[in-house]
Amino acid sequence: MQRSKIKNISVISMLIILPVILFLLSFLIGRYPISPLDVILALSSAVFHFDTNLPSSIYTVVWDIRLPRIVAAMIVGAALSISGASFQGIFRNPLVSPDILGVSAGAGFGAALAILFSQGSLIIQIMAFLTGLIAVSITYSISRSFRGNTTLMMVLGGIAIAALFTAFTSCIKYVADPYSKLPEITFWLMGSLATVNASSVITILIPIFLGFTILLLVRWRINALSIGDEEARSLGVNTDNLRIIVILSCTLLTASAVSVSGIIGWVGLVIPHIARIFVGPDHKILLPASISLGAVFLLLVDGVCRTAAPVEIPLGILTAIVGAPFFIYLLHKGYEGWS
Amino acid sequence: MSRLLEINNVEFSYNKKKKIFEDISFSIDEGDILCILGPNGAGKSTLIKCINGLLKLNKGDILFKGKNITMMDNDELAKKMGYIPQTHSSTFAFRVIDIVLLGRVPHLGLTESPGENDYKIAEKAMENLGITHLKDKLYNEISGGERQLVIMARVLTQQPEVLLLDEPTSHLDFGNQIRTLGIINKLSKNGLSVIMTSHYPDHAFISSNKVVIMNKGTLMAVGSPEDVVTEENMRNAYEIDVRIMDVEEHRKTVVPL
Repeated sequence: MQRSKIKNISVISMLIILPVILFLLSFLIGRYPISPLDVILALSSAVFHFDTNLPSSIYTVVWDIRLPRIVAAMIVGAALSISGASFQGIFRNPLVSPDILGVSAGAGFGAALAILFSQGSLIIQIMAFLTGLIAVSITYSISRSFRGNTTLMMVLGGIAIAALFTAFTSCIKYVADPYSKLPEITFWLMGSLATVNASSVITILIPIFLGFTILLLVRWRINALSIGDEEARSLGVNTDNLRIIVILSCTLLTASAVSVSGIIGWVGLVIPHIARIFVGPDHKILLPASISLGAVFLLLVDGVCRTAAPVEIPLGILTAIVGAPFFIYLLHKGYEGWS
Repeated sequence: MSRLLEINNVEFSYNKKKKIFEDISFSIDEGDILCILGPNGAGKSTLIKCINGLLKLNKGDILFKGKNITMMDNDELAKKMGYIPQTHSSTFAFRVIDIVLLGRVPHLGLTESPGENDYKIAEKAMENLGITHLKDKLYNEISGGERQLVIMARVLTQQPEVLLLDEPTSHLDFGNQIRTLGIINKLSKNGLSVIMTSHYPDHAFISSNKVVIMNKGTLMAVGSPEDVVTEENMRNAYEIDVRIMDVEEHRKTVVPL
């Protein structure tokens, strides 16, 4: 009993400290070498308003280039992971990922459309966000038009809607200029944080904040939904309402994430499983743990993307190449549960 | 004076064509244990779900202390009635205590999670059922009998006034069946009322003071076990011949021929 308590405390402190350490370390990674002291000076002097004699290029690299990218990596990783964990809970299915209702396919279509019409990065982002939301609303209304098992209808509807939007995206790729537009669309779909800047991060802050807050507030009740609709209702849960709340929050988060990073698979599916290995399935602890591990994971992978090769590696490719073997290794170690 | 729970002329069908049951009326008072008997497909489980508000009636109404249950919210109803389904499983490897704590859902707001007091209530329920040692075990790894007790502890953690049990003894071995009935008897002595379905007419003699026999969606008989579980009624309901015999001074048993 005592030992399990100590283990719980050490796991929780690891989940808090690890993102902070990696956040700071990530400033040192990149083509332009900056010493740890300069990073600390550049960060703190702007916050506490004191003067340093650092060259302005260091400020530019720390504040305008590395900070937005680091924050974006953490937000995207955390958003995809908490959404994945919540969806796996409410759909009672460990194979579900946050794009099961078609949000990524929808966002991909919006982004491709904006790129086709030569729009700037802000319009691309907004289009991706909106079409992601539209795709999920279509899926949701389809499932409501059936009587009976709406959960199953929702998942099947999501698969159909995702296929439809993917086909639309293919149409756009087919007509796009193969020397300029097509590569841009393709790279967007592969997922990358290379073009992230401060304004693209600020654009998503409100929906991201809303999504995280709502999910964290209702997280204990997701336990009740995860044991079955009928039992949840007999326990007094308004299952329809709770499910809409969770779906809406996850969709806000995923659409926001995808709109800055492009489509990044695998994170939302796998991080919840890794979190469950550490803290067990109780959503009260699982959701915060998913946030922490998702942020850490994407930060690490993006660090590799930035430095491993002379040319940037698309993030979406590397999440799978790094994540899949790591996941299999963890599965071999086995689910140990929380205590 | 209104009864604790009244079921008045209820009728239900999944689609409008085929009625699962119709014209069923009975009532219970505090401390009653009512056993619903009847062959497969008689509509017993469906009736239990209707009483718990999980399915909507076509006709008739169900009154809790005179108040129609359709006028109650999910969580208000869950504070009055606890329901144990026939089968339960969990996709995720929850600990037993996490499952038991879910009984606190109707007492907590949408954004609340269980506090110290809720833990105490859950632990007390587990203690009463003698399963404190299972607390940190994984729900998916314990035996069927233990799982039944865990769900029982969850429903007690709900602190309801009526328990609705859908075949609480199915999937259990002979000893666990009788132990479960013993627990039900003990709970009713503490003032809880129970409605349960069963496939064993003997269970009506062991632990109930009221019996309803359903057959093909209609009410065949209602009354005390001695009056209702008769050789004739058993033959009509199950289409087999039985003899009702005395085992002890005041206990009867059903023996198939």
